[in-house]
Amino acid sequence: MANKLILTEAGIIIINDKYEVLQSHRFQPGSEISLYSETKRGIIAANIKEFLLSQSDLLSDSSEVNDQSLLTILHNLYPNENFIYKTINSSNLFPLFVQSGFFNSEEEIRNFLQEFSIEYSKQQIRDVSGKEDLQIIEGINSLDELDKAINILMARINEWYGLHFPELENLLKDSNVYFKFVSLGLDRTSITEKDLSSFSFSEKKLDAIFSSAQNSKGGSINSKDLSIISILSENIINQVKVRDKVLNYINNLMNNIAPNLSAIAGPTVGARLIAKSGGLMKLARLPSSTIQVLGAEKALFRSLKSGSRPPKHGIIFQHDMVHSSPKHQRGKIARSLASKIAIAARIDAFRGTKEIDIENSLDERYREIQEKYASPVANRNNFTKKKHKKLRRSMNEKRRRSS
Amino acid sequence: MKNDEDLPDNVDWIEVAGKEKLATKNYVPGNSVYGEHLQKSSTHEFRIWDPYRSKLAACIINGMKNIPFTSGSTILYLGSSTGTTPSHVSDIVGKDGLLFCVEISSRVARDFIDNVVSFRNNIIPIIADAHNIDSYTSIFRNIDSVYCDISQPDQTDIAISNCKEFLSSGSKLLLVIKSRSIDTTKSPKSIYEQEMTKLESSGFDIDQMIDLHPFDKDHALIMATMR
Ligand SMILES: C[S@@+](CC[C@H](N)C(=O)[O-])C[C@H]1O[C@@H](n2cnc3c(N)ncnc32)[C@H](O)[C@@H]1O
Repeated sequence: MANKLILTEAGIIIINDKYEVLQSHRFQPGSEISLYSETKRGIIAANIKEFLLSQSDLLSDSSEVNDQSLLTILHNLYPNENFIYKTINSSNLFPLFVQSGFFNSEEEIRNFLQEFSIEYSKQQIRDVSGKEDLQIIEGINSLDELDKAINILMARINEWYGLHFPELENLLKDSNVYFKFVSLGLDRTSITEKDLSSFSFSEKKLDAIFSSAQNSKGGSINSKDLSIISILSENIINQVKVRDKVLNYINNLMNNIAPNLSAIAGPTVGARLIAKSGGLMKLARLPSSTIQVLGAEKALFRSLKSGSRPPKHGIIFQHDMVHSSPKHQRGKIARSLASKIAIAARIDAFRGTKEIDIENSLDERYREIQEKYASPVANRNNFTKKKHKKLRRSMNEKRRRSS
Repeated sequence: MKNDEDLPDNVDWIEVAGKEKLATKNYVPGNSVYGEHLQKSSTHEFRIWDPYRSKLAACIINGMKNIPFTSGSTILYLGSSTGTTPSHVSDIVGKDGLLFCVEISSRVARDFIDNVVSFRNNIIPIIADAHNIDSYTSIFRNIDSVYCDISQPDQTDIAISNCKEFLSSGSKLLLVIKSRSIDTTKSPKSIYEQEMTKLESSGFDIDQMIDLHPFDKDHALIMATMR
């Protein structure tokens, strides 16, 4: 009858169909987690390989294996044998552990397996969170690069089609509509209403387009030029679609792995902060004063060298609350936002549950600043030389320490 | 209604400020898991078991009898989340019992391990998708019963396949049905019926079905025995 090969957390056991242990290989105590998880991923350590190869007598055709990865490993080691995957879940492993001499008592087994499962889980958590951070960083960088590429191409096409029909840009302010128009590859001197039937332009808009087309200051164009411009426009439209998909992907990922940071900073600003600091864990360890100017390092060092004002905000300037506020409020709002971001990132990194309190307290503080500092006061925010010196000293120290 | 004989081991009605409350004997005296009140009697410390936080408590209060969890049981618990209910089940099974807890989300598993598992040596955490039984770490002891609370559209199928793998004939499944995660267009009642029919045609006999109202909206807990 066929023997069974069992992968356990403590090692590998070979039993016969009467559940008697025939052979076993104990993982090196202390390295069980890495040996077990490597095996689960299909990687085989030298010792284990040696053990498996030395058991050719016991491992023959139709032996059963309780783990898919181990099955693959075995098939590689014994290309001529046909092993079978079969779980042994409904059976009691306790006696097998004792018989194979891995442990002496049930209590020993329980302790080992609980400790093992905690450590193994923690490792899985670390692996996943590290990986998710990387996805966010790559994702947000792709988004920024796509934006850059799209902007450059848009400007190019504006200019190119503008040689022929410069007035159109002012008529169609929505860039989606503008590039859809250009992608039709129309010669302005022969546009018909039918050409534009896929747009829902008003009568008035249509009139304006036709009259500008007739009286345009632009030059003439041939069909070869038009067709290449049209292809480029289609490409822009597609890239915008891709961009929306990437954005959606980032939003989902951020809501999953950093729900509090997403709520406070917004998913994209949150993702940029994670990318800039090198990971959620790292962001969570930064003081809020650093978070406030993250992404404005150049301005910060310029200010330290020349004695000019330090920057009030870096990446977080992109947050609506900051950039849509009057200039004199921005510093305060940025500071308050940064401190809430610091708290949110810490909750996400260390606790992982969604809390609504910080969101509410940020909104409160925001309204307070808007009311209290409704109008700018001259020089209220004076940045003294003394304070500056202190800051410069501490920065230099930091740089010295880190080098 | 408040008949002690129907309660699982280590579960009792405790008087707190003149009111009878469900509670479990604290397996880790002094340790409160999710902010629940701790109450000392002459011999033991009890943890008040909040039916609004735990569906198992809600179904006991609503009259579920003969819950198969006893002192010393080995239980496979699917969807342990941050461990509110598992912590009370851990009280019930005690030092000879064992709880294998499967959870898919590493975010909540982290809280579960830090706040619950590290204090309770009768819990084995497993981070895995309950669809992929193969990815579990060893379930190294015979499972007496399965508890499943995973709010997925195919939760009943997942429960069934886990039972088939780990349970033997005569053992019991406790299954939480969240009707809204199965189909929001049908009435909860018709969904409970539909899921019970599914269980019956997959080799289970239905013992009881308890609506969790008023503690949870559109939730029921089904107890079934594997044939
Ligand atoms: C309603 S909560 C469970 C609450 C918990 N039973 C209690 O009473 O304290 C559902 C849990 O199931 C988990 N879950 C969802 N799908 C899962 C799957 N396929 N495998 C394992 N766990 C899953 C979710 O992450 C969530 O934590």
